[in-house]
Order: sequence, then C-alpha cells, then structure tokens
Amino acid sequence: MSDLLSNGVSALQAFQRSLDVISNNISNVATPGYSRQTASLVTNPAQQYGNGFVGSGVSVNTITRTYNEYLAGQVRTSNTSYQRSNEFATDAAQVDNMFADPTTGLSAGLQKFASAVQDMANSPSTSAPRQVVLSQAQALAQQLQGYTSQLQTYSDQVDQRIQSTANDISGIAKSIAQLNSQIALAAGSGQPPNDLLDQRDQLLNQLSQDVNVSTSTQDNQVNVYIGNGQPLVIGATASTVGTVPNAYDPTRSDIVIKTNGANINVTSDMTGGTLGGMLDFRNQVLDPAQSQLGLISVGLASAVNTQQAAGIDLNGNAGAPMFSVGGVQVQTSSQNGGNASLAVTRSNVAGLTGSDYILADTAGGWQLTNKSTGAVVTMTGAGTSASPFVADGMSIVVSGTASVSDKFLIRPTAAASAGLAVTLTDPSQIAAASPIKTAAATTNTGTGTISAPTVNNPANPLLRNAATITFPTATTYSVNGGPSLAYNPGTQISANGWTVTISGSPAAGDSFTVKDNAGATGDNTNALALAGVFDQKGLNSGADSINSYLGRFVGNLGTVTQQAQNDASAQKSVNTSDSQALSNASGVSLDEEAANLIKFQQAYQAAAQMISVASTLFESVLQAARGQ
Amino acid sequence: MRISTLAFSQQTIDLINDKTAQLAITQAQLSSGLKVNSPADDPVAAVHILQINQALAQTAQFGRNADAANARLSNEDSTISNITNLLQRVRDLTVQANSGSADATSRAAIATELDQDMNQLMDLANTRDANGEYLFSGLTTQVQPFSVGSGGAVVYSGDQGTRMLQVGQTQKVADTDNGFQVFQNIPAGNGSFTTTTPATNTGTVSVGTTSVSSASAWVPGTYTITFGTNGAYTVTDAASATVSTGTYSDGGTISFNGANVSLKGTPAAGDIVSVKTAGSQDIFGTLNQLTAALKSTINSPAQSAQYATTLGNTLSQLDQAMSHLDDVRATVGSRVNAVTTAKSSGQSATVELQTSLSQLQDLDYASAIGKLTVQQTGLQAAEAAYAKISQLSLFDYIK
Repeated sequence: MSDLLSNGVSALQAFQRSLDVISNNISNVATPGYSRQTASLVTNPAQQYGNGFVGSGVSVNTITRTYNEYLAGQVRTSNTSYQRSNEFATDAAQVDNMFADPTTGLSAGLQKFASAVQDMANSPSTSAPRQVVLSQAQALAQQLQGYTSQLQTYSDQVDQRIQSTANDISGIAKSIAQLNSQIALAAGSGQPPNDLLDQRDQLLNQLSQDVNVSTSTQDNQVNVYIGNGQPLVIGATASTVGTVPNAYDPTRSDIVIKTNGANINVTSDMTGGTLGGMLDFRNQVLDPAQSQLGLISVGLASAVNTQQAAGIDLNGNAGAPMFSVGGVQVQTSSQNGGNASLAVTRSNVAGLTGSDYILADTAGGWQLTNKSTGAVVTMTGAGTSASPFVADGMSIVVSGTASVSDKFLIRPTAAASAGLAVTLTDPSQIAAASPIKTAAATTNTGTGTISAPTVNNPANPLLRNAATITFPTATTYSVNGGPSLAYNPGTQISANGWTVTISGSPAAGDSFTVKDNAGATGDNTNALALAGVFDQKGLNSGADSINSYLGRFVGNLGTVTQQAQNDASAQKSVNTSDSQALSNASGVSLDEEAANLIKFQQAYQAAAQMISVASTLFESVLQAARGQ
Repeated sequence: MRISTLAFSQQTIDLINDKTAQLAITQAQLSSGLKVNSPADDPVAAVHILQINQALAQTAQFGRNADAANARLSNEDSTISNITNLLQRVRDLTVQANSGSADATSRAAIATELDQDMNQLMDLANTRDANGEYLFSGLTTQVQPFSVGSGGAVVYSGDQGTRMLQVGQTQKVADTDNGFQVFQNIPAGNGSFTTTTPATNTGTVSVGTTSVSSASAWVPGTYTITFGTNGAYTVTDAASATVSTGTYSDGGTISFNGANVSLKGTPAAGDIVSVKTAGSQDIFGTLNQLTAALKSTINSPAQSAQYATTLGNTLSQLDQAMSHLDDVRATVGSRVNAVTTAKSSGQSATVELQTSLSQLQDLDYASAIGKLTVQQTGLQAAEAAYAKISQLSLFDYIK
C-alpha cells in the first residue's frame, strides 16, 4: 500500500517536472539559440522482497538539452562564408552603381568633351565653342574627382566599420570567457547548465558573423580561435582585438590581437565574416578602382596635353597643357629601419598598369612586386638619379640608405584623379591649329600642288622655321637649297619634323613653302586630332584607348560584383539549410510539445488516480476495521 | 522528419523575403523600362551599351559637323554663283567695249560701271559666314582676304590652307576653298598662252582670238612674232632660234608649235606680237587691266590695236575665270553630295545602333509582366500556405 502511494507520489513529481520542462520549451519556442530540453526519467531502484523485486516508482534523473555540436559547427562555417560574400557583394554593388548610368557616366563625359572639341573645330576662331570645350574639360575633371572622392568616402566608411567590428569581436570574446567560467562552476554540481551553454553557442554564432572562427572544447570550456588559428578565448581568458594604423597608410586600420601586451597583426588572416568581406572589398575593389580610375585620369591628361603641344593656339603660341594630374603616391613603411626615400615619376604612360607595387630592399637588392598579382617585376637601371629604376612606366630614384627588408608602397596612379585639374583658363589657349602651313608660290606655272603638312615631331626646334622647296627643273627639287633630289608625283618630302606631299607636274622655277601657321585662326587640324585622342591606343602598352580601358574597367567592376552577388546567394542557401538542420534538431516543435503535454497530463492524471486508489484501499481497510 | 516551429516560420519568412526581393527587381525593371540597371546585372551588355551610347553621340556629332559643312558650302556655292553672274556682265561690257562703235564717252561710261562691279566683286570675295569667319581667306579666317594695296592692285592676305570638317569616322570634307584657289590660281590668257603687243608697235596689228590645236601639240615657251615688210613674219623662241616663218595678210592666222594666233590690221615693219606660256591670272588683276585699257587714251591706230589686243586677251581670261569658277562650283556640289550621303548614312547607322541598344538594354515588357504575374502568384501562394499551415496546431485539440 505504501508502495502504491509512494509510487504515485514519485510519478506525480516526475510528471510535474516533465510538464515544467515542456512549459519552458513552449515559452522559449521563439527564443533564438534555445535548444529544447528534456527531463530524463529513470525508474527508481526496485525493492527486493521474498517474492521478487517490486518497482518503487520514477524520478527525474537530469534535464538535458538536445544539441548537435557537428551541425552547430556547420552553421558557423557557412555563416562566416555567407557574411563575407554578402558584405563584399553589398559593398561592391555600391561602387558598381556609381558607374551604372550610361547616359551620365564617365564615358558620356568623355564623349561630351570630344563633341565640344568637334564643335570648336567647326568654327575655331569663334570664342563660344572654345569656352564650351573648357567647361566640358572642367566637368570631366570634376566627374573624375567626384568618383575618386566617393571611393575615398567608401574607404573611410569601411575603415570605421572595421574598427567597430574589431570592438564587437573583443566584446563577444569577453562574454564567452565569462560564460566559460560560469559554466565550469555550474558543471561542478554534476548537472549541465543548459541555458548558459545555449548562450555561449549563440555568442559563438554571432562571432562567426564577424570573422572565421574555430573552437575546441576542454573541461566544459570552449577555446575560440579566429583567423588562421590565433587564440581569442582560452578558458576564462579573452584577448582583445583592436586596430592599429597600417604601416604604409596611417589613415587605414590593420587588425591586431593583443595577447600578453604584444600586438600580433592578423589583417591578412581575417578571411571570413563581415570583417573578411570588408577587407576583401578594400583590397579587391576599392584600391584597384582608385588606381584604375587614376590611370584613366593620367591617360586623359597625357593624351590631351600631348595633342595640345602638337598644335598652336589662337595667339600663335604652342599649346599649353590643358590638364594637370596628381603625382605618384609613395608610402614609406613605418617599420623601415633605414632612412631611404623614393622619388617616383611616371615616365611612360603606356607602360602603366593601374596596379600598386611594393618596393622592398631584400638581401639580394631591391625588388619590385606587383601588389595585385604578387608577381615580381623586373626593373632596369640602378635606382640612382643618373640611372633610375625603370619598370611598368615608372621611374624610381632611391636616395638615402635602406636597411634590408625596408619596404615602400608605390601607387603610381591612385592619387591622380584627386589632383586632376584644368590648368588652361583662357579659351584662346586651346591649340586648334597646326603649327605650320604650306603654300604654293603665286608665280608657279606648273600644275604641282602641295598637301597640308603632317607634323611628325612637334618638339623639333626648327619645326616652325620657314622652308622652301624649289624645283630648278620639272623633275628635281631641293629643300632650303639642299641637295637636288629626284621628283616623282606624290613624293613625300620630310624636314624639320614635318612631312608634305607634292603631286602634279611642277614647272621649272616653281616653288612651295612650309612656314609658321601663326594667325591661321580658322585652322582646325589639331582640333580634329584632339577630338580623337580618347580613341588613340595609348594605354596598356598600346592595347587600350581611354575609351576601351574605361569599358573594361566598368565591365570588370560589373563582373566582380555579379560574381560576389551570385556567391552570396549560393552561400545564403547553404547557410539557410544548415541553420534549418540545426534548428530542426534542437529547436522546439509546438506539436511535439503538445503531444508530450497530453502524454504527461494523462500520466499525471493516472498517477493522481493511483493516490486516490491507495486512499480508497486504505479507507476500505479502515472501514472493515471499524465495522468489526 | 522533425520540423522545429521556429525553423518552419523562419523558412517561410525567408521564402517570402526572397520572393518579395525578386518582385522588387522585376518592379524596378518595369518602372525604369531597362533590364540592365547596373553593370553587375549583365557586365558584357553594360560595356556594349557604353560603346553604343558613345557611337550614337559620335554619330550625332558628325551630323552636326555635316550641318556646319553644308552651311558653309551652300554659302560658298551661292557666292560663287553671284560672282559668275557678275563676270558674265563684265564679259558683256567687254564685248561692247571691244566693238568698233565704242567711242571715248561710252568707254568712260563702261569704265565707271566696271568700277562698281569691281566693288561688288570685292564684297563677294570678302563674304563672311554666320560665325563672322571669312569664306575665302583659307585658314586665317579672321583676316579680310582681299584688299586694295598700294598702286591699286588687289592683295590677297589669306593663306592657301583649307579647313576640313569631320563628317564621318574617317571622312573629312573641306568646308570652303581658299581665295588663292578661287580667285588667283586661274590660268591666264586662253589657258595655254597669253599674247601682248608692245606700245612701241607702229602698225595697226592687233590680236583677235587665240587657241591651241591641241593641248599636246602646244610646246610651252616664250615666242616673239616679228613682222618684216609686206606681212612677212618670223617666229623666234626664247633662244632667238627661228621656229616658223611666213607671210601674214590682214585677218589671217599665224600657227606655230600648236598655237593659233589670229590677227587683224596691218603690221608695220618691226612690229612684234609676244606669245608666252600662260601663268596664272587673278580675277581682280584682269578687271583692273580692263579698266585701265578702257580709261587709256586712244589717239593712234597703234594704240587702238593695243587696246583691241588687251580686250581680246581679257575676254579669254574672263572665259577662263568663269570656267574655273564653274569647276570650283562642281567640286562644291560634289562635296555637298558627300556631306549629305555621310549624314544620311549616319542616320541609318543611328537607327541600327538604337535597335541594338534597345535589344541590349530595353525590357521586354510582355515577358517582364508575365514574370511579375508568376512572382506575384508565387508570393501569394507562399503567404496563403503559411497562413493555412500555421493554423494547424495540436493545441487546438486540447480541450
């Protein structure tokens, strides 16, 4: 009888505990990171009687959480990958959108400038179209400046977010370390502290959003490593993640782990999470975009200025440069031991690649490395001012003394767009005219005609000197009284940096002149050439014109962004399915809980009935006794 | 399989989010009318779109250049047509002055009229276009091309350059001709040679019409026809070598080395007629020469003969000038044709470019709207399914 009662009581207690656990599960159905808990029921030890073992009821042994360590690790890994590609895709799309509009973008700006030059060519002596050319040049410069300052803004924003993410990581690390010690303490009681474990797993999951994480478990405590295995949390001790100024560029942040007072630079190991996404965006999109946009500015200025120099302006002067660009950016590593400094100039625009470079003093001498490709670039010269290092369109002069492993970051075009400006202020200074012209003597009796001159070398000091081509006989000619040469119709004659063609049949005594074209305000020869400079293949070793380079630039940006977006959406579905697998394993299912609720409710009611039966049995014994 | 309640609703929310995002993309495409809204949508098409837009802008610019060229060319054409008319009138006056009935008074009247014509010719030669640029000053378009210099001669201050306008990718067209080419570089005399009679002649011989038998038969050089008595003549070249001899009678023609020189009047012994390879004339010079002859005093038969020679020569030169101007007009016409062709081929290129641009970037509305409907249905179905399934709960049955 006492067994019946005590069994009933033990069952009531056990089922009530189970119902408590179920109610807790139902309460936390929407709590992120909550793992469903189960009260584990065991039979109490049976009592031995002469006639056998009689069970003595049920009790709750422990309350466990349903959790799958393997799936949780999967979720963290896929979350890190997804967060990285999502961050990268979102950031890259911002840059991509800058160049999205084909009617207002950079290529439209280039075309507007070329059209303005063509309009000027239709009437070079009038001032209004010339003014428009200068205005379009200004607009073009401002457009390029606008793009580069927008890129700078993105760079600054990314830097701020990198810093706040580093703080976030430190905060999470600290919380995990605290939980580690609490869990160790609670586990000492022999029962699992389920809710603390859930909290810790949730924090690990949060950490995996920021950066790639790996873990190991030791005595109920989890050790956390980030990046390439750098310890972030060991037991109850957390390291701090912080930022320090980049060695080359102090306006940029590098990531460091502070352990035992030492800063370990781990920037290049941060390959996952939003942190990895932002660093990749900075290295793979922002920096190349800045340098390639700079190359467009350099190419633009060089092409226009060269063509300007090949002509003469309304005042008869050789064309002055129209654009000025920012110089080469050289950043000396703050860790350099020597006092060497570099003077770098752009010596050959066609040789420039739009990449950045690292020049390092190695034991084997100076070595130049392309930062984008990692390839070593061969340099000629000795690095002295008499014989500078020459490579990829750059000319490098080293002064001072360097220590081995001293490094310099050379960005040949990165600062070019920011410094792009229109230096020409007077519209009359646009060189629309050819510097020289040709004429036939009015006394000529033959039918010979002379073509307009072609300027081969605008820098020839004799270019604008008058030259006379005389025909002492109908079949011979001499230039400026020089040696007599045989004439055939269509003969090309070159001197002083020009070439002309004489055709037809000049008579003996005829003469032609090539002379200074000052005053020819209606000449548009050079303007027509200027209108075509954006299609001249002067970039990328002659493989690209400014227009085609711009097309490739926009195309590359679009491709990178598109790939990142595709990546992000693929990673997202992997992460979603991993999260669902984990959630399905460890999350609360209300229907399941409802079924359990009914199960334990019925069991509870049955147990209560047992007590009632025990009571009735006892009552009947009492009544029997009273009745006698 | 066990489905957790949170995972189930999260999955549904993710699904609805995805479908809403796709709907938003379709909606953005429908409202912009473009299927490529950023280079990342289709990098290859984006680059192609840039190139086509550039080609379109360039073609439009070539069209504008063609308009500018056309304006200057039609201006040149009408100016030269006016000059030809003017020269025709001058020619009529010259014929009138060369007739036997012209006396001193009528010659003076014609000379006065010619002065007016000369002024008008100067005006036409100094024509400017709408931008204030001179049509006929070559590349020095701000310099007045023709002005009267010292001694009354007309001086050309322009140069021999010609401005080219770009009307196609590689096609450039001259937008006028320079003054040297139009007014000065004209063959003198009859185009092959000129004739003069010196003031020292005492007879009445004058030169009538001249011609060459054929261009190839004419041997260029400087020749002198010297008359002896009774019309006997000797033709000598620059080296005084005799080329031809013969006897001339009034109204006869002397022919040598491909040249035919018809003469009138009677030469005195020792009179000469010079025949010289034609250089170039300048229209203003020809007119000045004519006016000077008209204003000269004619007192002797010799002066009369010289007057006749000059007028005859002038008539040849005017004919040369008019035919030269016709040639110039013909080239202007062919350039106008070239410009028109370039422009219309630019227009058809524009249509083609716009077609490919449209194929690349424009949205196919029918398929986009179809897609929108499908996506909308999908979203509605997802929402309805969630609302339905979330009602299923065992708790509803616990009474």
